[in-house]
Amino acid sequence: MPDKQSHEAYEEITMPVDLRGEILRRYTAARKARTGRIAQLSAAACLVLVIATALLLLYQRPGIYVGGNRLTASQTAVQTETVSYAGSFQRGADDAQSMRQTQSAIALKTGYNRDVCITVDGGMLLTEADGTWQYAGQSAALAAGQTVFWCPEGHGGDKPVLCTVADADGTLLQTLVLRYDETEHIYYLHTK
Amino acid sequence: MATQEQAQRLEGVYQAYADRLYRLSVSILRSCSDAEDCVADTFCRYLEKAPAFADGEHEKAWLIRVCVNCCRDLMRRRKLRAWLPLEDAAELTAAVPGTPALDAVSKLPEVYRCAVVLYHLEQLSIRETAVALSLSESAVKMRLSRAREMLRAELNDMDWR
Repeated sequence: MPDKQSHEAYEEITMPVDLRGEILRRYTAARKARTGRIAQLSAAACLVLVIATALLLLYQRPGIYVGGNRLTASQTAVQTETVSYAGSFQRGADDAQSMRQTQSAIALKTGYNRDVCITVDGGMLLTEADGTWQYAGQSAALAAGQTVFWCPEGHGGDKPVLCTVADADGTLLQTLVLRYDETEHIYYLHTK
Repeated sequence: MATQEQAQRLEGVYQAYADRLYRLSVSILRSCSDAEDCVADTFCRYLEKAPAFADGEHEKAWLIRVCVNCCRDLMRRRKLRAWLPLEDAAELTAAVPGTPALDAVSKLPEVYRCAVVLYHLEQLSIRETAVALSLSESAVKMRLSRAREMLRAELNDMDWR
């Protein structure tokens, strides 16, 4: 232990000035500075948010989305072509003509046979011998020797859907992006 | 502006601990003006954080720990921004009242000085010293033992246990 004299000397050390005013002044200044920093950080965060939103919008606009997912760069490097006036895909003879026009146009563009089959909400429109259409399943279309345009998500309004093209053996031939414009009743075919 | 409540809160704790924290800071920093700065910072943090204490001992331990940390911060800054000539620094050191034993303590390296000041001069327990320095009790004991060796060598026959 240190000697008694040292202890007394140590105990004699006292605060030479009253610091209370200084402490309150520092505290007030520190609080103001903190409030200022919070305001600056908030402003910076807002700015970052605005820039990020703007960039996101700019980035999203030219993209093609399939099932809510943006296609990759190679997938988006596609050429958009108006295939044909299609009308709405409804079961029945009224749509048969427009359906066939669409079918022909797609077949022409893609080079597959004319008897293609396009899905509607998971079902298939099967070409009959007399040129009319029939609602059927994919296996029936394949059994009939038709090329199948299989759009597993349906046409889904204005959203593009990914269509797989299969031959009569069910072999995958090509993947296409097909978007149906409900207002214009036009199919847009995106091909590479 | 600081509110009336904060001024009142400061009043009580300042009366109780200002001198003690000042002594502690002077012993660690060896400079009266730096010690005043450190004490002001400690109370400023006390007002900012407004911690809830279980009892008076808890409050004392918190203040000592914050004060020691303030001293260390200041010493770290000193190392980075040391610009005073050595003669001036010696004058600042000389301004601290002392005895041969206190002078010897003030010459110890910082890690040992803090332990000696808290344990021998502030008369905290080993456990309280360990809490204030964020160390284990065995580390505090080891530092005290080494510090005593140094002090014995400096003061020859003074009895440091």
